[in-house]
Amino acid sequence: MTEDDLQEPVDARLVEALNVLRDTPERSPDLAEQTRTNFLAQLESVRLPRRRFTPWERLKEGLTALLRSPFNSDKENPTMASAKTRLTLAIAAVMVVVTIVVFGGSAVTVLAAQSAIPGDALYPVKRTMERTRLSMTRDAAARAEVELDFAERRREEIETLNAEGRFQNIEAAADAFEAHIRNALAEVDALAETDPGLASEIMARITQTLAGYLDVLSVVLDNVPEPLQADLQRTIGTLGALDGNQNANDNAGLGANDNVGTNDNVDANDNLDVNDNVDLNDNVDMNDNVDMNDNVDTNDNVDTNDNVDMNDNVDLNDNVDMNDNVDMNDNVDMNDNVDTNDNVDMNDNVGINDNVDMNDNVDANENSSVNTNDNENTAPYVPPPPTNPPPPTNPPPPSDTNINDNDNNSPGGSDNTNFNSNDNDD
Amino acid sequence: MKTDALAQADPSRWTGQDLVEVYEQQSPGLYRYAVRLLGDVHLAEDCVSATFTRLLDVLQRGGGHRGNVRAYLYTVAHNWIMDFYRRRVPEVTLEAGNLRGAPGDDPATVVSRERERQQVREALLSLTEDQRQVIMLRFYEAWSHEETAEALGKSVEATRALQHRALERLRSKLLPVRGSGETQ
Repeated sequence: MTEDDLQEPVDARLVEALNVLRDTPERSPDLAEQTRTNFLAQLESVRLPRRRFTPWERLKEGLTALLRSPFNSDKENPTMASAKTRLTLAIAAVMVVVTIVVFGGSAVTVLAAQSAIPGDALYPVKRTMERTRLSMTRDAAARAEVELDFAERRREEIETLNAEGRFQNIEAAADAFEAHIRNALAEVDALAETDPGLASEIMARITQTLAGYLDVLSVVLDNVPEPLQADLQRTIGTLGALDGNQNANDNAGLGANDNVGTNDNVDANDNLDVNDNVDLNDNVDMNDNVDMNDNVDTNDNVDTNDNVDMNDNVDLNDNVDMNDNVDMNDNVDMNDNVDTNDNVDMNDNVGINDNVDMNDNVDANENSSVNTNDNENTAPYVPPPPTNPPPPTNPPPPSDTNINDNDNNSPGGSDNTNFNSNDNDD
Repeated sequence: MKTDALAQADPSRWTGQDLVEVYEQQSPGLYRYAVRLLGDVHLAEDCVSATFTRLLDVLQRGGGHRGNVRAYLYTVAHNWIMDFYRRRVPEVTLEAGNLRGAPGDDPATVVSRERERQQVREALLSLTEDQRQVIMLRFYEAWSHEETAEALGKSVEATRALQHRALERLRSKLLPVRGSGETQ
């Protein structure tokens, strides 16, 4: 290392001193190998964005990521979850009213049926109630919402069935779920002609519901005994073949864009285009949707260059990862924040800034000293100041001494200073 | 020092094999870097390990990092080391693995050399983070001003100024102390 290397004149003795650290101890092969093994083990467990997924994995990963996205993060967001609970309760309340009107005295039975799951004796009552509620709903948007609520119930039932090990009833619930989704999609189709904006909103919710459903199914799949597993797999497979599911998938992309905040009419148009494209949907068609998502991603590219990197990841996963990436940007910032935490520690060293804040407190004290000045101004009224110059001779007027005492009591030397200067002014 | 093509490539396109390659390329240098500042072979390994863990973590979550990966790795390693020193009071580890000398060397010489190293280490630790990073990368790793500036996210002019001030400080820390030590 020379001056030339450092591009500035350097004391040769300093270079010599610093060179003491230049040679480093030979890296122990054992330790190095341990570190390397450690790294390789971690690498094994890491899911790299570019990894190729099987269609099933792709679906699962993508939808899991979608669920993680802030757009519909009720799993991670307790307030949203409780909002959902409140919604459910509100619906339950409506149901009670409807129940009393329709069924009169049998309301108690119906209420009890609300918690029934497939296979329970009261379960048919629950489903009948739902049909009644649906028949009383005329508006397409409302009907779609109701269908979605029911779909959510089916999903919850599947979860309960899974938790209780009643696997043989899961398939029926899954079929019912899909019927609800199909119905909701049909309603949205009708709605799209009159109110595309609202239709797109509901589509987003359908996507969300679908994502939650597939998430549940993926958990269930791990539990279900072998023979039933094939059926469920098929169910998931056929789900992709549903016309409506294509729409839902497309909207998954749309939803992602919503999160990025780039949603606009253009996106909606894209969505419609893709719906046209997606006729031959099956699991592989997820990839078609993925392509659409890429297009949407391209729009994102216009917005931020950072996203360009993320978009390289392609696939449905990617689109959904887009959301993650938006989060990731935060996370990258978080990393910076971790670095910044270092800086925060540095600030501890600086610490003086805190003291500057303390000065604010001093200011407050000065305010209190202003008050004492007021007291003082009143004081000279009682004894005329020029006539009584020496304080010791006069028994000090009680008001005066009190004032002085107050000044001394008030915190901080700065107060005294201010006080004195004010005295001079008087 | 040439920066290899991979270290400049877009990390989001990396395969596992690429990452193994990055590890093989960068881990020896990171180890040297870490052991200089830490003075302990085990801690240096920990630092290397944690640095790559961080890289994997960031990649896994789909986050990229700006600039090339080498600069990123050295920044992470530096932060790890600084965290370490903040957590603990540094102490000279005089265990066998950290004491270096030829088989025939006088033990006293070996120990006094380690003391010298520790002095330099403490002088380096007394620098600001940016100053220290400039000296570590410019002086010991022989990075160019441009490379260093990129790693620090600063301009080349800024790293020049940082280097100058760092050298000033190191001179005042190291040279008088050693001079007075010799006269006593």
